[in-house]
Amino acid sequence: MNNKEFISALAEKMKMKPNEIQKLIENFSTTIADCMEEGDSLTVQGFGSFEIKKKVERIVVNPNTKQRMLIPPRVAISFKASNVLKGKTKQ
Amino acid sequence: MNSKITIQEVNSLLSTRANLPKKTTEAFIRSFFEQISSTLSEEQYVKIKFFGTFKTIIVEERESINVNTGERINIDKHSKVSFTPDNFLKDLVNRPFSQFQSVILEDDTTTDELQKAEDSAKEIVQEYITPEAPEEVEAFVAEKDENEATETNGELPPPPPPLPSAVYESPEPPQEDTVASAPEDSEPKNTPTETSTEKSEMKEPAPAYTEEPEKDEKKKFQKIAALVLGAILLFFLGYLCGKGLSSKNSKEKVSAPAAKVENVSETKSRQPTDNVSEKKETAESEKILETLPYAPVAKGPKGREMKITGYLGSYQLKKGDFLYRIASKVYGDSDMGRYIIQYNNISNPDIIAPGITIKLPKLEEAK
Repeated sequence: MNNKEFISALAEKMKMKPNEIQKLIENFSTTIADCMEEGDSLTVQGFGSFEIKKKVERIVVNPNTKQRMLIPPRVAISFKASNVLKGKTKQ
Repeated sequence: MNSKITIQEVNSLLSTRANLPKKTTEAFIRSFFEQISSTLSEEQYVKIKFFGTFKTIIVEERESINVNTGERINIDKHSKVSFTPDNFLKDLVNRPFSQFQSVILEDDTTTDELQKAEDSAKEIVQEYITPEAPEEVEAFVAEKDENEATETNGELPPPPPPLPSAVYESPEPPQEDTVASAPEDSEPKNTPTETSTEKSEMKEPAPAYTEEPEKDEKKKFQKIAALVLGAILLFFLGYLCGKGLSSKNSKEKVSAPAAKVENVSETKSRQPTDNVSEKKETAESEKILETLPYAPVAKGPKGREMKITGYLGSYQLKKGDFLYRIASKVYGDSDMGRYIIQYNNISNPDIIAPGITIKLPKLEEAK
């Protein structure tokens, strides 16, 4: 399901306009990111949990050119599905 | 910090941000996640703009061994949910580190890459600091050595008489060869010889000097070497300041050896620099340091025992600082981070807020 389908499905459920939904999603993402930036983790009941992980800097080598690159440290989001979601997708 | 936030809290934040009643946003969040999970049970993926992509990945059946019993067990074919954040969300979360960029390493960069990358990442910061930073380091090394320097002072005539400039000029080429170039060659590679000299210097600096090749002219040599190295140092500093805005690669190459030379010269040129650094030191001993001091510890395996012997200085954390990175900067070994943690009674080293002032311990190898 792509973004368009998802938005329209959600819009139908919520009885709102698709562009309003898109706007809400954008706000929602920003809100989550703001919370996450402080190191919080977000748990959604029956869905899963989002948390941030610090990744340390590392050196990678391009196997073709043998060029070495230093990848800077970064903060990444990780998602862990809850058992409910796991059970739903298991087939 | 590092607490679990619930969807209710997110909801109240969202409702203020989107200017919508809480009921609406709550219903939105609920149906948002419901829609994702119901779609995932039927389809392979859900792509949401500004948020990310959820995918179900099928994991093939595989055999594994129970770690406890050694039995072979089968892990059934199953599916798992993966989430790839959208670039929008990724960038938002990564904001504190967004100023970093990946660096291409040249083939001849044999120096501690961590240090270099850090330097280049904080290039802008460094450009402002460069004129002062080495001096501060100087003050610190001098301070560290001063306790020990008293021993050496006993052997040597205490106040170094000012030498005529003729003497000052003439020995320069040979000194540069013997003293300056040798460490330049060996130090950037962190060879064992360097670490061993460092070790001996840290434990008992006075004998280390008596072992210098020029035993006859030791006293004279030290004074001259100190003066010459001081001059070279000043030259380098001036050069660096002048070159401040030039390309970073070349700057790094210059600054790295320069810093090394400084370290060497510091230990050797105590007497002359003492007068200068003492003034700075008194001014600096009390206040919080802008730059980190440099007090390398002897190299060794991870997890070795060290002894906290004193107090080196305080440092106020900035955004993007890591304790282990600070440790690798100060002690030349990120492993020493645990002593910073220990010294400051930090309960969770993953969560340190910018603005906190940490104390840096003085470390020595435990015997």
